[in-house]
Amino acid sequence: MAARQLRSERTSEWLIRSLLVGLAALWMIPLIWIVAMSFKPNDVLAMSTSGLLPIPFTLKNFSDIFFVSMTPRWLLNSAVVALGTTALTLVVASLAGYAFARLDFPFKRTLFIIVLAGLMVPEQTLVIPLHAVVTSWDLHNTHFALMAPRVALPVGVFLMTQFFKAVPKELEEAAAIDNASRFTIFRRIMLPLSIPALVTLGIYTFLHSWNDFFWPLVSATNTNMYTITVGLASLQGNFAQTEGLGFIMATAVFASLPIVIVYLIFQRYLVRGIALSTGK
Amino acid sequence: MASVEVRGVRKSFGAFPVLHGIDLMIEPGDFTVIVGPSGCGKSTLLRLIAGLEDASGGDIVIDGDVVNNVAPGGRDIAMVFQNYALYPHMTAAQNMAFGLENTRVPKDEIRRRVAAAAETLRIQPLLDRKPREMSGGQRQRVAIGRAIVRDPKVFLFDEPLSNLDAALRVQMRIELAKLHHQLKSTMIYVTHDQVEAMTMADRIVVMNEGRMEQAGRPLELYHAPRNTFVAGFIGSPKINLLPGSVQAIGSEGVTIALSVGGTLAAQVVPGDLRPGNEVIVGVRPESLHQASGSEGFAARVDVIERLGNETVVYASLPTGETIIFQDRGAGSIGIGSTVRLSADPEHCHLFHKDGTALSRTEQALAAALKV
Repeated sequence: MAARQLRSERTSEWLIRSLLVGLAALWMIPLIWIVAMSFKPNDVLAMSTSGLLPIPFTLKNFSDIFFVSMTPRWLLNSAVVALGTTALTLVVASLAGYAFARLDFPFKRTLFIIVLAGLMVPEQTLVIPLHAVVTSWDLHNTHFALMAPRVALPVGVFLMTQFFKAVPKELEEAAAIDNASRFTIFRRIMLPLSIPALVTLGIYTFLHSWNDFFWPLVSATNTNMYTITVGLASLQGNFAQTEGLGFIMATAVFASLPIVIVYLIFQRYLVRGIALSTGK
Repeated sequence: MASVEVRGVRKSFGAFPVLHGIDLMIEPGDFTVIVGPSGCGKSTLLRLIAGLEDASGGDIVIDGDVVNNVAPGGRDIAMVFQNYALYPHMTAAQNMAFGLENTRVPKDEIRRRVAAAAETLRIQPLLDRKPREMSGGQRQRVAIGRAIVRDPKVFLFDEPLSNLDAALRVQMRIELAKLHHQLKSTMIYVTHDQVEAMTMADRIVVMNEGRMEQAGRPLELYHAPRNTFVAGFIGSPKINLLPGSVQAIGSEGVTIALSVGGTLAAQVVPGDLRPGNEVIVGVRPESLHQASGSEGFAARVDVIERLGNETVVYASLPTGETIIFQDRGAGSIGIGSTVRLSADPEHCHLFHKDGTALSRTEQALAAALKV
């Protein structure tokens, strides 16, 4: 009886694993295909794009990124915007989260509800008002214009508020008795304790900002100010498939590398942070 | 060493009053224990002294200065919390140094003070460890170390031993008593455990429902409780409270006819007590003894706890209430047997129907203290 039950459990486990491997492979195929095409010569790709192996093999598409295209400039723009947005978001979200979690001030609940309401507003509905504001300030085609609308991230404020609320109040009280000012408490007690949440928010913001397409498409009209996502899209002319598909794929692979590296380094923080934000 | 005075302090949370006007004077160097059941306001009172809560009325005076509007850090106090409240990302040494760094004490002086406190508490091997790498007892020592490095005017302890196991609690109790003897600082200690209060305090303050019921030396509270609440709270096992009515008042004391049948006498100053008045007799378990003949009252034995050094017996009265007494007959009684119990008049307390105590005679108090 027990042996049969064990065999049945093993079979169902094997089936689940096979299903998961199948789904993962399905998900991976487009990525492998892109990588394979990025190492193939453009004239070969003009005849056929099939095959998941880079045969014949070339590095020309990658060398063209540095010597022919504006990709390095767009990568730099993306890096400046993503890092700047991440840094500013962490400052704003941690300060606002601490204030919502621990300070008493007029209309705190109302303001927090407004912040939460921000989570429900679709990004697209904000583009026209944002465009009008940035135009009136004559800030289009600047790094600041690409960063500023993304800094007051409602999800970041919410995440940090929830995290700070979970920190035992006694720690702050002990620090207050230890003669620490409110800012010292924030800087030396609360911030170091919130590193997992900050890392999670930082990764989330960085990925979101790096992959952002819609707002940079509206704000950055000068090719020098394109981010990598807008730059990649601009490469896809009508004859891209026949003329420079390998180069486009190489640019896409190259643009994804920072994201992959960031994710590989910080993935354990990402998982821990998500666990923290769902309750302790 | 500083005095702490609480003058008519009131505290409400919204419309809900928590403290109803507390007056308390704590002398410099005293170890004062505030004791009471959960929700009585003892921790709130401590937090008001610390400055972690604002009083709704009254004054907090530390070392002669009214500190109502002084932030916690400016009161020159240190506090040990129930859950230790050690900063998790700092080592023990960094935890202890944090308060000194905030007051800009020179680094050499900080190192010297941390080392001295670590030596006093025997925590030198823990200095480089973070709180998660320590046991509960070790964390508590570090929390105490964080308090003593600052050499404050007043130490505040908020149920610091309640998270420790029974054996460690006894050990830490002894160490805290030694520490007080060594530092001779003013210490205010909050607990719900009357044993901690009795064993450590120079002075105990008993609180109930936001009011101070009585303050005094431990044995004063034990032998001369002001009311049935204090009598019931101080002492383990609990005092027995038996309702009855005054039968006679004589030079030997007051004789009470108990509701459960039988009589007991109490050596108290009768005041305006009259025969027929309803009263409550209080008898501590160790004061009850087995009686012969028609003396005392009858009870049926339910449970016997043999603790080695003493045997505690729980028995039922005819009214269904439980009475507790110590059996000195070396196991002569058994479960289900009926015993007659009595107590000497000098060991009996007497309370009015409303719970307030009648003063015991000097003779009775002297006899009680002799025991």
